Amino acid sequence: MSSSTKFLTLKTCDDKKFVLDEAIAVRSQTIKNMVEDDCVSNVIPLPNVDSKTMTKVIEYWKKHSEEGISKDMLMDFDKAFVKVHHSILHALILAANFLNDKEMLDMMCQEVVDRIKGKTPEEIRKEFDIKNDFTPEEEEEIRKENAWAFE
Amino acid sequence: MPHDILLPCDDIMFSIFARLLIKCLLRFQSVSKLWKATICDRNFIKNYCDYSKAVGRQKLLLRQEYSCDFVFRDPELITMDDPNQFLPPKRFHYSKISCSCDGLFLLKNRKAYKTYLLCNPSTREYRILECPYVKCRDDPPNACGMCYDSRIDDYMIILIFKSFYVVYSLSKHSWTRKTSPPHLVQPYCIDRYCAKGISTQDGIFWSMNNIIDLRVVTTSTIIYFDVTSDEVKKISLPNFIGEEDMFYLTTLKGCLSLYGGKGGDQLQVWIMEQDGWKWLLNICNLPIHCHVFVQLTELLHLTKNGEFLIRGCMSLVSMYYPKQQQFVRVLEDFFSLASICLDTLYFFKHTLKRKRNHP
Repeated sequence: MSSSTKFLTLKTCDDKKFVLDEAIAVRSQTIKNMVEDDCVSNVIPLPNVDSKTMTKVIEYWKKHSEEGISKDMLMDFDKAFVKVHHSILHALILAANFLNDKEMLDMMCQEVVDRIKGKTPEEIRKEFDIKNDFTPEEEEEIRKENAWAFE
Repeated sequence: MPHDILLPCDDIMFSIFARLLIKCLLRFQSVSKLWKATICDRNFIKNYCDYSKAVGRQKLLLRQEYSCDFVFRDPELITMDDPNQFLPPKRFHYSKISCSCDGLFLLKNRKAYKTYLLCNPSTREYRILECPYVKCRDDPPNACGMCYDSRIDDYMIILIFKSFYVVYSLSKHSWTRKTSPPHLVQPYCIDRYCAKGISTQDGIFWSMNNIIDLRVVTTSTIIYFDVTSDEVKKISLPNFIGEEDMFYLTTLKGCLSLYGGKGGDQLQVWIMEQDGWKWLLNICNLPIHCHVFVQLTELLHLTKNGEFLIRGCMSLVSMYYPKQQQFVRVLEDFFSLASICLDTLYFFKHTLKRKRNHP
């Protein structure tokens, strides 16, 4: 690594510190703006991200910053990366949104789409632990109005 | 543990839901109250439409000869069958498309004079409209069109009569008569022909033609409804349109386009870009039946590969390959209607009283 490599220290909400190459950290538009505006002191606080999630995010950033990595390898990595429980997926979406990494956010959103698109409302509720807050009558009304969409 | 994966914020829910097909969204309204509220949210509906435009999410809407059902195909891969269909109410079974904008269509029965059907075939929703300003059968509109006004997030329908025009607002569900007469519109003589407006983001455009007889038509004027000023104006005829030429309007890649010429086996295609009209190409080797009735040849769509989807006068749907200068018929059947239809939820839940079709 050249001597000009700069490192940033990121601090997550659970007080864990991550030291990261600035060139990699600026995949986050939020961090990039902070760096460009020169408002980076020693440590960048990330109040909305926990260390478990940040570890995953950094894993993704590092892989996507590797030199000479092929498209196929990245695709395989991405495929494996999104195969997580929905609570982690949820945390990653929030983190990608806060860090403003559009590429990562797009990928995570697409994963949610792929998980729900062919499913019935019951299956979605089950997979994502969503409570059905409709009365049976209300639910029946929606089904009746859009009967063809349930075929 | 968050109670809902999509709860974080509207932006994220929107960007996830915007990627879903309309059928999924209709179904997912019954997941929870939050999901339903998001799908019915006006901002989301706008967002969904914008996303459709950005990624070119559109379908080819077709109706076979002697059939009442509208069916969908992928406009890029014509052979891919879409199981969805839309059946309008009975009195509009054999109606024509008066005009359309994005995924909304205005249908009119040939015999009816003031009743229209406004529909969104993608959600299968519709509303019957009666224009209160049409007083008699003998005074049909000369032109009609539909456009989107982004300032107020609303769709407008405009019907232009001999001495006045009326504007219908989708969200207000009301008609307004405009007194300043669009003096540029000339009445028609043949077949009660109502010029179909082509909508762009700036307004609605019509090419008004002198129909001398069914075989001799020339382009005389292009008028447009300026959505920002609410006025009907005239634009100067481009230089490439000669005195005996016949040109029709369409949209290609979202831009206003003109196609036509002097007849024969060629069609010139021009596209309106930021700095004016630009020649795109000549479509050559037009099938023989299209030579005479160029006015019945519809340029429907320019695919991502640069091929042209065309409905010819014999109700045949063909793809034109510019490199080979060749037409290939892509669908076996004959189609009385063909149009491009954007995936949109507009008008969804906007109906005063929702009407269902299909059992």
